[in-house]
This record gives sequence, C-alpha cells and structure tokens, in this order.
Amino acid sequence: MKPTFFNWTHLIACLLVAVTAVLLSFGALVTTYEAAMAVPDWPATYGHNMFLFPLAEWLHGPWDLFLEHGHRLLGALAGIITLLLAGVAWRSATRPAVRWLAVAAVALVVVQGVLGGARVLLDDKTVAKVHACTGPLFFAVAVAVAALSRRTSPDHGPATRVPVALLVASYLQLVAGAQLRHLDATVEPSTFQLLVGLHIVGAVAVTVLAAVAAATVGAGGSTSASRSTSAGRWAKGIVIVVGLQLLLGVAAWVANWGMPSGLLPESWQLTEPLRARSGWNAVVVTGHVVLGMMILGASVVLTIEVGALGRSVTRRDAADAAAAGRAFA
Amino acid sequence: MTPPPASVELVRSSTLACGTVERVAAVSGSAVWAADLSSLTRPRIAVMVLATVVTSMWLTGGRPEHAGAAVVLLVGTALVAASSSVANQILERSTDRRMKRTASRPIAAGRLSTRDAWVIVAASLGVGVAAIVASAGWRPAAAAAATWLLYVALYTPLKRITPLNTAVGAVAGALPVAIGWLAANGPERLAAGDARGGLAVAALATVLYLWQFPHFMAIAWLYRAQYAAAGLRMLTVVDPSGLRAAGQSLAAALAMVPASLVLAVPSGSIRLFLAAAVASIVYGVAAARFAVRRDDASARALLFTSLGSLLGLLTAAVAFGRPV
Repeated sequence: MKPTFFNWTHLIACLLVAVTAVLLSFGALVTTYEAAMAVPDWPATYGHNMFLFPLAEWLHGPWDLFLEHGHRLLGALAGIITLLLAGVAWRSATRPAVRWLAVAAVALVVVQGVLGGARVLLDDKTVAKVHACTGPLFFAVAVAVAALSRRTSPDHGPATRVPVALLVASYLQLVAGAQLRHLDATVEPSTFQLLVGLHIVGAVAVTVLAAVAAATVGAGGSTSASRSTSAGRWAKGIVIVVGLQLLLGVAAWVANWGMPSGLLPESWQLTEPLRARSGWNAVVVTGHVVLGMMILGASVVLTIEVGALGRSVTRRDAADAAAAGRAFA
Repeated sequence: MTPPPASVELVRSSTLACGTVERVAAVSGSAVWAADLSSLTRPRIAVMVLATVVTSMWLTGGRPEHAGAAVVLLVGTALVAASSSVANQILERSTDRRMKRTASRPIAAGRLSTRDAWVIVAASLGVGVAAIVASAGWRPAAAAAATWLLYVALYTPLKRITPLNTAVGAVAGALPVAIGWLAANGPERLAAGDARGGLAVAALATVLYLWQFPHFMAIAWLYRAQYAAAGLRMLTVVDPSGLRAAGQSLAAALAMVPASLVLAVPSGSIRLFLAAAVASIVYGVAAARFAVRRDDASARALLFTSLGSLLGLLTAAVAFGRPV
C-alpha cells in the first residue's frame, strides 16, 4: 500500500490513548466518589437517550451525575474512535499485530461497555471490579496499537524479559488494587489483610522490576548513545513514576483509612465509609489509580521498544507486511 | 475390535514353542489393544469434557443431590464424547493416513474396520445418551447429542472446507457446559429468580469458547506441514505465515481476560477473581509471544500454558466459585 503523508492508524491510536486516559480518570473518580449509581438506568440517562441528555443538567447538576454521565459519554467516544481505528488499521496498517490488536480493542470496548451497564443494572461490586480491570486492559491494547503503528522501528535494546514481567506485575497490581477500591462492607479483616499484603508484594515486585529494567535496558550498551535510547528513557521514566506511585500509595492508605496498624487500619470498622470522598483525599486516591494505569501503559511501550516478546519482530516486519497483504486479501 | 497388529502376530507365531516369549507377545498385544482403545476414544479430551460438566453443575447448583445419578451422567457423557471421537476418526481416516501424528490410529492403520467402528459409535452414543436420560432427563441428553452432531457432522467435514472450522469446533467444545447446567436444573433456577448460576455458566461457556482459539491455533501451527499434506484447511495452512492464526489467538486471549473475571461475579469471590486474573493474563502473554514470534517454541509454550491456565481456572472456579 502506498504510504500516505499522515500515518492515520498511529494518529487515531494516539487519540484513543488520550481519550481513554481521560475516560479512565473519570472512571476512577466515579469509584472514589461512589457515583456509579448516580444514574440508575442504562443505556439511557434518566430516561433520555444518553447523547441527548440536557447539557445544562449534566454540567450544572450534582457532581455525582456529572462524573457518571461524563464517564458514559467518554466511553461512547472511546468506542467510536476504536471502531474507526479498527477500520483504518485493517485497511492501512503494515504490521499485522496492529490489525489484530485493533480487533481485540473493539471486542474489549464492547465488553467494557456491557460491563459498565451491568454494573449499574445489577448494582454489583464484583461486576464493578471486572469493569475496573477491563478498562486498563483496553488502555494497554490502545497503547500497544499506538506504539506498534509508529513508522520508526523500535530501538531493540538488550535481550531481556524484564519488561514483560513488569507489564504483567503492573497489571496484576491494578487487579489487586481494584479489590481494595471496591471493598464490600462485609469483607473479613483477614481478607482485607490478604489483599493489602498482595498489593504490597506487588508494589515491591513492580519497583524491583522497574529498577532492573532501567538498569538493563538503560545501560544496555557500552556507548553513551545506547544509554540514551528511547527504551532507556522509557525505563528511567517508569522508575521515577513508580517512586511517585509508592508515595501516593502510602498517602492513599492514609486518605482512605487513616494511619495503618500492621496490615489493617488503626481503627478497623467494616461499615465505616471511606474518608476519601472529599478534596485532596479524592485527588490522592484517584491519582494513585491513574498513575498505576500510566505505569501499565509505559510498560507496554517499554516491552514493545525492547522487543521483549520476540526479538525477531523487526526483522520480520517487511515479510509480515508482504504476507499480510496475501493473508488478509 | 480386530486382532493386534501383524508385528505382534509374527512374534506370536514364530515363537509358539517358547512360553516366555508367548507371554511377552500376549502382554504386547494387550498393550497395543489398550493403546488403540485410548487412541480411539481420546480419554484426555473426555476428561476435559467431564471437568467442564462437573464445573458447570457445581456452579449452577452446588453439590448434586444424588451422587449416583451424577456419576451415571458423567459416564454417559464420557461415552458420548468417546463416540464422537471414534466417528471423527472414521470420517477422517483418509486424511489421518497422510499425517504422521495420526497415521497409527487404529482405523487409519486398518486395525479396526470401518464397520466395527460404526458399531462402536452407535453403541457408545446410544448407551451414553440413554444413561444421561436416565440420570438427568432428556434436556442434558439433547445437549450431549447436539454436541455430538456439531462435532461430527459439522466441525469434522468443515476441516476440509474452511479455516472457520475452529470457530465452529469451539462451540462444540463449549457446549458441554450446557449439559451440566441443564442437569443441575439451571432453567428452573433461572425461572425462580436465581440468575447467578446462569451467569457463572454463561461466563464459563464464553471462557471455554475463547480459550480454544489460542490452544488450537498453537496445535495448528505445530502440525501445519502435516495438515497441509492431509489437505485440511487449517488457518496455518491457508496462511502459512501464521499471521491470522496468531492474530486470532491474541484477540481471543485478550477477550478471555474479562470473561474469566466475570466467573467471579456470581460468588463475589476475591480468590477466584485473583486466580482468574493470573491465569488469563499468563495465557494472554503466551498468546502475545506467539503472535510476535510465530515459531515452534512459542507455539509449544502457548499450548502448555493453555492447559495450565484452564486447569487453574476450573480448579479455582470449583474451589471458590460456588454462587452464594
């Protein structure tokens, strides 16, 4: 296919990443403010077609309604962009992985939309957890499409599987975090301790893996040029963000439950509402979630940059493009 | 079943005077017979089908009221599964002969006649369906018969026609979930307002459907040369670059993540949620690695990961996933 001036697949994928980042931030705020049931019906919003809900009511109505309806509108926008991306990628992307990841993104965005609706209609916390775990997965796929659809080839630093481990660990951290974010009031103290323990172990794992990735990828060669590769910069950036995330994690605990006492809050009262639904507490707690997603996204880019899933990917690109022309014809 | 292979017969006749060798030959004959029976009925597939049925029953209604009836149901299901396997080998005997992996199967190798094999198919299908009807009623029996039909009458011939055969075969692979659900009175529970068992089973069926794409694409990649020689239109034969197979694997594995997590919704079990996340993410990473590398090593790793992740998922579903 003749190259065009604009790399539309990459541009649309980048737009999708940006919209999804805002969408996930809105979703995190919805959870922080416990606003998921602010609109009790779905797919309608208080009986209105979602897209025709009065703008004034949305913008000047209650904060909970603003968050939940905004989250829905952003979700719809992400869905439309995803469909557009899949269409463009299928027609013009040179890397087959981009095409199939775009297809996976369509499947995930549809599932995510249905999960969002089910969460409201069933008012079920576990559905909310699944919704919270599918969002970052969709985000990771969008980031992967954006990274893979660039015209320039990845740097391919030294052979290491650490970025893959970091990617898996950062996603599982989000899964463990989702359990803590959507706590049931009836949860046992032992279960709470288990989740906190897992989250702390995950934090240690992510920190160690990020440091090892920075050390191996960032210092992958003997020349100063190799140290300043794109992969190296991503790895170092992840270390900095992980450091910030650790601080936010401690702050989020204090914002949610007060001072810690071992793996339990100082005063363990199962029915006590979270304290994070105001001011800076909300910013800290939501920021912790959003930063976790950014670490996941950066890990995806790092994994692709170093070709950790398959060192032969770049060498195969030309053959892939030719084969794809036949395979998808 | 026809007599043991000629090599065993030769040993037996030429050493008739020697009792020790005669006993060795007899043992070899029994071993070959057992190997043939195993090759015909493919017990590992049957075990997977039974594991699916048990998990489905457990998620729908918990411990069965009548253990004896449940055992008869499982025996009947195993017989139907064995019947479909034998029927598949009858229909594919010519292609089986052209593949090293399957050339020694008893029907392809001529150790079992087609007529005898059809008798086995009819007998095991009839007894199996009757056992299911007797133990759990006609509805699970109908689901078992539908699975048999889909596998034998649709999936098997489609392998020679279109690479879409995997998408059809995956339905047959997921359908045993319906056997367990119907046997545990799933529709009645649903009508009575208990939707949680139905949701768990729907999630399980979705997981099983999606799980099969990376699993079978890995097999199709590893044996692509043999499939091509046999004239079977697997995706890796139609597209030898492996791009489409890898792409389908990746897309299905990623879609399997939320489906696996939904398994935990009816029970609200945090442990099942975490186990499902780990199992499906590990599977997803293996599929992504295969999608990028498309070599035998990554296909083999994907194949083993598929088995481990499914085993882990079913075990966790049984251990923690009973709806409350």
